[in-house]
Formats: sequence, C-alpha cells, structure tokens
Amino acid sequence: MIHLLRSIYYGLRSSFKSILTAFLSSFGILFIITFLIIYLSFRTSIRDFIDENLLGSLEIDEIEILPLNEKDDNVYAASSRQGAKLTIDQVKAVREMDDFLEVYTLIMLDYRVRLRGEMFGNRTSMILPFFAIEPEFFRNKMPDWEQFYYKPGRPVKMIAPKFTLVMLNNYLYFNGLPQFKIKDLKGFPMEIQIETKRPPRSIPGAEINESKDESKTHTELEVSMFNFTNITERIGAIVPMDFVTYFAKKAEVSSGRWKRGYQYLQFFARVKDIKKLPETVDKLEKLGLQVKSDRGIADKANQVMKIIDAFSITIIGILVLLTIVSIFNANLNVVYLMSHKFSLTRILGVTKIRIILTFIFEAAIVGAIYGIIGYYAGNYLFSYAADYISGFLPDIAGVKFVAQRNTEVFMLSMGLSALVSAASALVPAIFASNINLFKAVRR
Amino acid sequence: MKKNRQNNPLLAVENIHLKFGSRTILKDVNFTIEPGTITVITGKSGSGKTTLLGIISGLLRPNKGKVFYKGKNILKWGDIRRSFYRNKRIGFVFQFFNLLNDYSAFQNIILPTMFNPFAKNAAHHANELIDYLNLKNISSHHPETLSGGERQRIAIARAVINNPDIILADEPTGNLDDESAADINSLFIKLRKENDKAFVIVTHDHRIVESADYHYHLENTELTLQAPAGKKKSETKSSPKKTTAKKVTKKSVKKTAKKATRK
Repeated sequence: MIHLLRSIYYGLRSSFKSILTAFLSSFGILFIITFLIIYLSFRTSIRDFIDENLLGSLEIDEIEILPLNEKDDNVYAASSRQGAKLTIDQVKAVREMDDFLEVYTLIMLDYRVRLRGEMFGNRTSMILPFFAIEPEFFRNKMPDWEQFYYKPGRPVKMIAPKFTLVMLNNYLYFNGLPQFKIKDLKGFPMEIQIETKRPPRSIPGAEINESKDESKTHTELEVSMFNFTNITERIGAIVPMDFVTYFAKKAEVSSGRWKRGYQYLQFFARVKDIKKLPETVDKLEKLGLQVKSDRGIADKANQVMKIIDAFSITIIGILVLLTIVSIFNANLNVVYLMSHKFSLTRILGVTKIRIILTFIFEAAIVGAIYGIIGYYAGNYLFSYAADYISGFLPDIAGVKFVAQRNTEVFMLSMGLSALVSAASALVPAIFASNINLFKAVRR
Repeated sequence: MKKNRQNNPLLAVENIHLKFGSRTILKDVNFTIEPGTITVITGKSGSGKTTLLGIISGLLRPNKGKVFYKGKNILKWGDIRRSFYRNKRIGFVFQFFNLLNDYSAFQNIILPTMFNPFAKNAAHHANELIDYLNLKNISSHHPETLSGGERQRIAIARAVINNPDIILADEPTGNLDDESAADINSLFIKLRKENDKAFVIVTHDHRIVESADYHYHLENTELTLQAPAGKKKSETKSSPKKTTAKKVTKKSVKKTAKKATRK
C-alpha cells in the first residue's frame, strides 16, 4: 500500500514537472480559447439583438390565409371589391380546422365608403375600403384593444394604416407645420359616408341623405381615430367588427334583395404546433387557399446566422488547426528535450501505451487549465471592450453586449482546450514512445 | 563445485540478422547466457554491440532470428509483456549512468519498482541494497553532486533492485577512472558470485574481459568466441561454441528451461 502511494506520488511529481514544461509549449491554446469566448459573447449579443429588435415583432406561429388568386402586386385590387375573396365554404372549412389556436377573420364592408376630414382649414375626402377584424386580434399588439368596439350613437372607432401617418407628417413637414405623433391624433374626428341603394333601417347618430334621383342613399356617421397599425398591407381603414356586422344587418335589404353586406378577405391564424405547419399549409392549399408566414422570414434570418456561424466556425477551425500544428511543433521539441527520460523509462520497463497516455493526459490537463483561464480572460476582455465597441462601430450601437458566463460555455472552453491540447500531443506522444532508446540514453 | 550449466541456458540468441537500410549490422549471431556467468562482448565502435544488447532486452527487433528467455521467444511477445520482462528480468547499466538528476540516489534506485505499483517491500529492498553497496552516505544526494564511481554504483543498485536474472552493461567503466573501474569490476564479480546473476557486458576494459567467463568479439557483423586473456580457448568455462544455432534448438531450449523452472 505504501509502495502504491509512493508510486502515485512519484507519478504525480513527474507529471507536475512535465506539465510545467507543457504549459510553456501550449501557450497558444489560451489565445484560441479567449478568442472563442469573445466570439461567442459577441455572437450571442448580436443574435439576441436581432431576435429582440428585428424578429421580435414577428410571431412565427402566426400565419395569413388568403385566397389563392390574390395578387400581391395589385395592392389596391386586393383591398377593393375587385380583389379575390374567400368563399363561405372556405371560411367554414378553415374555422373547422383544429390546427389553430386562434383564427381571426378580416372582412370588408361591401358598400362604397367615403372618408371625409378637415385639418388646418383644408377639407378632404376619399373613397376608402373599410375593413374589420375581431378586437381580440389586437391583443398584445395594441394596449387599448379592448376599447375597440362600436356603440350605436357614438362615433365609429377607426384604425388607419401607419403609412398614412408618415405621409401626413411628410406633408406637414414640407408645409412648415408641426408633425403629429400617434397619441396626438387619437380621437381625431372625421366622418364617413356609406352609399347604399336604399336607406338602411334606423341607425342612432346617423344622418341619411337620399340623392336627388333617389337611386342612392348616403348614410353619414361620425368616426374618431383610434390608432394606427401596420398589421396589414391593405390600403384602407379598420373599424370594429361589430360595426360592420351591425351596419350590414341594417342595410341587408337596402338593395331590394338580401345582401350580406360584407365580404371575407383573409384569415389571421395562430397554429398550435409550428412544426406541423407544412401539413397545415398542405390542407389549406387543398382548400384553394394560400399561406403567408413570417416563419419564412425567421427561417431566412436563421439561415443568415447559420451562414455567419459556418463562416466563423471555419475561421475558428483554421485557427484551431494552426494552434494544433504550433503546439505539435512545441511538443516535438519537448519530446526531444525529454527523450532521455522517455528512453530511460522505456528501458526500465514502461510500456509504449503508458508513455502515450501519460503524455496525452498531461497535455489534456494543461489544455483544461488553459481552457479555464481562457474562459475567464475572454469574458473579462469582452466585458471590458463592450463599453467601447459601440464607439468604434456605430452601426451596432443598439446591441447590448453581454459576456457569456454560463456552465455550458465554461465546459465547452475547457473541453475544447483539453481536446486541442491532447490532439496536438498525440503524434509527439507516439514519437516519444518510439524513440531510438539506446541512441538517446547514450547522449 | 561448478555445475554444468550448458544445458540450462537462461537466454539463447539464435541466428540473429539485423540490417539498418542496406547496411548489415549483425549476421547469424548465436550465443547463450547462463546463470551466474559473466559474458563480455568486445568490438570496434559501431560494430553493433549495443544493438545486440537492445535485441536481448526486447527493445529492438532483428530482421531475422530468435531470442529465447527460459525457452520462450521474447520477440513474439507484445510490448506490454516485453516491458514487464525488461522491468523484472533485466537490469541495465550504462556508460553515462543515466540517472535522473531530479531524483535523489535513493529515488533513482527505487525507480524501476515505480513502474510496477504492486512490487513488494521495494523500500526495504532498496535500503538493503544501499547497505550492500555501501551507498548509505550518499543515498539522499542527487546524482549531479556525486562522483562517477558513486553514480555507477547507484546505477548498478537500480539495475538489481527488481532482482533480475540478467544484467546488461554497456561500457560500464568507460567513463570512470582506473580505481573506480576496478571497484565496479569487483562489484560485478561479487554480484555474480553471491547472487547468481548473469552479466552481459559490452566493454573495452581488459580487467572485465579477464574476469569474464565468456568473451565474444563482434567484428564485421559476426560474433566469435575468444579465449579470455591469460586462458586458452579450451580453458574457458564451457564450450559456448557448441551452443550455436544448430545445437540450441527451440526444443532443447524449452526442455532446459523446464528443468531450470523445476529447479
């Protein structure tokens, strides 16, 4: 037992001396691990920034379901009565599918609507499609979504496309007038004029005017600006769903025969399982529908990140290879310097495999220690540099740089470093076990 | 009373051929080693004497031939078994001592036992050797502080710590003054007599050659038996000439090895 302990003691003592030598020869690993930690921290910070700021607004489980013949490039046609519509059968079929957590329907008032407004003494009007969607659709998208409903006798709440605000502000800017923010325009009064063939049944607060030849009736209602949105690319205003159905009901017999009064344009749906999206898309396509998904954008963003990663991994791989070669070279030197000891121990009865394993074990220990040092050095340097990066690279000023301090990265740096060190010691270890023994001990 | 050891070779080298590239180093080399004998090999520098020791110890593989240790061909063994053979059955002594300067004399002596963690009473045995070889005063010293003769005695202690059967010595007195060389020679004779060790010594030292039981000369790739100085060839301890490849067959070696084992 004492002898066994003594053997272990001598083994450790011998290894300790060798490890000190190996420390000098494997110094390059420290740089590669430090670089790796800095790269990982940088990459994660950029990735988080993209996720939060560029992809954060995209709900990748949210899809748009449109008629198959919808034309992307004819925006106005898509918004108007000339655009493609969903059939009742398609609407029923989609609503019956159990692939979705939520389904919202975008409908359009099937009457001609003119919007009138006055600002800075200028009165303007335009014919505009009026859409509607369930208020729950705006949950998590608009803070006051629960207020988006219609109360007869009160002004109709309206959501306008965000680009109209941009256009308005452009106009104001070039005319030397102050620009508006969303909150400034909330509650802004306007009026709408809905054209029907015959007057609808009574609507509180509405003024109904018949044309002189009695062929048209105009129902005038007050509207107030509720918010702005960019959830749909369609040109038109969004009003509460209950207003559209209310008005449609009042006007259903206005043309002399029954008319629903609105048309189904598209669905916004959230799928239950994003992994099953391809199957869901197949089902929808069989119904004569097409699907637009932000998942494609997210996938592309991921693909870009993968390309960047692949490129970076290639660079790191080359650096690792160069490190292995340089440490290999240094290890060969160590083998040469220690050839006397290796030879002597071989002569005294040490096996080749023991020399190889000892050499690799020592190298792995050195590598692991450098991995730990590299982990902390990389994190420290990154944290230090993080304060200055934005100054040097204004394009990424918004990125929040956070050092990678977690168990996974710690284990990765330690493991990779040990692996690199052990790999670079393998061939020298084989050389060490095959030294021309008698030649070496006679030096 | 001298035993007839010819039939009990501890080690038999049979028909060894070795080439390095196109250069032939050893050609048809045959000899045997018996317990309690000193065999000396002389020859010019570069004639292949040390290489022959390498082959005997299983460190070098010849192109052709066999090396039997107690009837078993060591060249057929794997590295682990041959390493164990070197550790337990063979002791090495070198011209330049080959001690580790990081270790004390005691630690150098005990070193071979470190490669066999299950060796018993290693420290006790090392202390006995230190007494036996008069090394007590220097056992805690490091080799670089010792004289050549002291270092070589430590090297000899290291060679015998595992109680091997054969000690291979490569120019053991080549780096010593006359007095130290004489001491080492006496030590070899003492160890042979008292411990029944077999010595194979590569040397140019005439004193060792004179005290040897067998003297071989290696020249032009061939090993030939010489009569030790002061003796006629017929007066040599045995007639190793007869232990050629033809006589030392594998069968006979195995037979004698069995006898030796029983004994």
